[in-house]
Amino acid sequence: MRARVSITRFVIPLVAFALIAVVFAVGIKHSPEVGTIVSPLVGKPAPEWELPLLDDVTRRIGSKDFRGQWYVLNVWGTWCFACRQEHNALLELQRTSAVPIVGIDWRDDDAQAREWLARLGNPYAHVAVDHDGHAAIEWGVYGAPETFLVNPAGIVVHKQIGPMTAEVWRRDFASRLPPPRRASS
Amino acid sequence: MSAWLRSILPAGCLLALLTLATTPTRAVDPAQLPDPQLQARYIKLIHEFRCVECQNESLADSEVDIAGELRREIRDMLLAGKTDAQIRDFLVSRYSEFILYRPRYSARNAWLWLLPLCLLALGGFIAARIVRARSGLVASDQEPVEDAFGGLAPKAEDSSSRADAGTSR
Repeated sequence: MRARVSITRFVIPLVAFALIAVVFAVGIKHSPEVGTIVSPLVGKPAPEWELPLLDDVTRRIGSKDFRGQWYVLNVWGTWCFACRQEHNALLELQRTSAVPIVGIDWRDDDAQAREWLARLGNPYAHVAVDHDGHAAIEWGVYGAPETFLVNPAGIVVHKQIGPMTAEVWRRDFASRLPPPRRASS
Repeated sequence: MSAWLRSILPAGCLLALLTLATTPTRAVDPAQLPDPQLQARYIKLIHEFRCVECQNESLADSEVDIAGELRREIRDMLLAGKTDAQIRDFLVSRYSEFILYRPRYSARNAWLWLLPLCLLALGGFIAARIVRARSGLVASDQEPVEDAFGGLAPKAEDSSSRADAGTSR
């Protein structure tokens, strides 16, 4: 009889507590940082895009120019503080990695963007301009910088929210790329 | 007259406050679509979506650039003849269900919706058991009184059932 009382009084609440604790622990462990929107584009085809080039706005560049090759798409702007932070990491990548970095200059002033690249160095293979933010919405961008990795089949393989660093590149981008020798072919 | 005024004043103040509270929504977004029906759908839609940058505001309430751009995107889609469902699907496909203030019912989140019902059923079951156990106790308490009135000696099985009731207390 005493055993039954202790089961209802202690064991059942303890088991309930343990269950709730496990659910919360799993939830906290797997949830992204507060405010981060996990992109539903990862694992899906990249949106079709076509934008004017910063160097020559009469020419356009877009997804079809990158069919069959890996590319990194970096959304930035001169108004974006964290973009200044990641700039050196991007320059370093341009030197060490074979994958082209395509920049989308988001909601920016063209002259300021050209001045920024002339002053700080240009890590991009191409820079496209998105004045009205339509392409950014197609990519599900909600803050700069954001960086996407797209494979030769045109599938978004990874998205980085926030500044690129050497460590982020090694952990999340390089690990998803084929070995360097094949990436350069 | 002044008594009447005094009685109407609080309601008047409340009404004025409510009016004030609803005006900023219009101030943020002055956009006007040519067709009143489209405009009504537009107003309804921008209240349904979360601003992706300032995530505690709806697209209707937010003044940041990206909210304005998303509103423009919604207007363009409405003018292009897209249905509300197509507009919702597009935004969800780009920003995930997080952009919806009212999450969709799906297999993945079904437990969120069903868990309260299950808990309610469980609580009801437990409550019913407790009530039944207590009513059993009351009945067994009254039994000896009846016995006393009847002036009958308790039968063998009665006393055993009473003993059971006692132990389960």
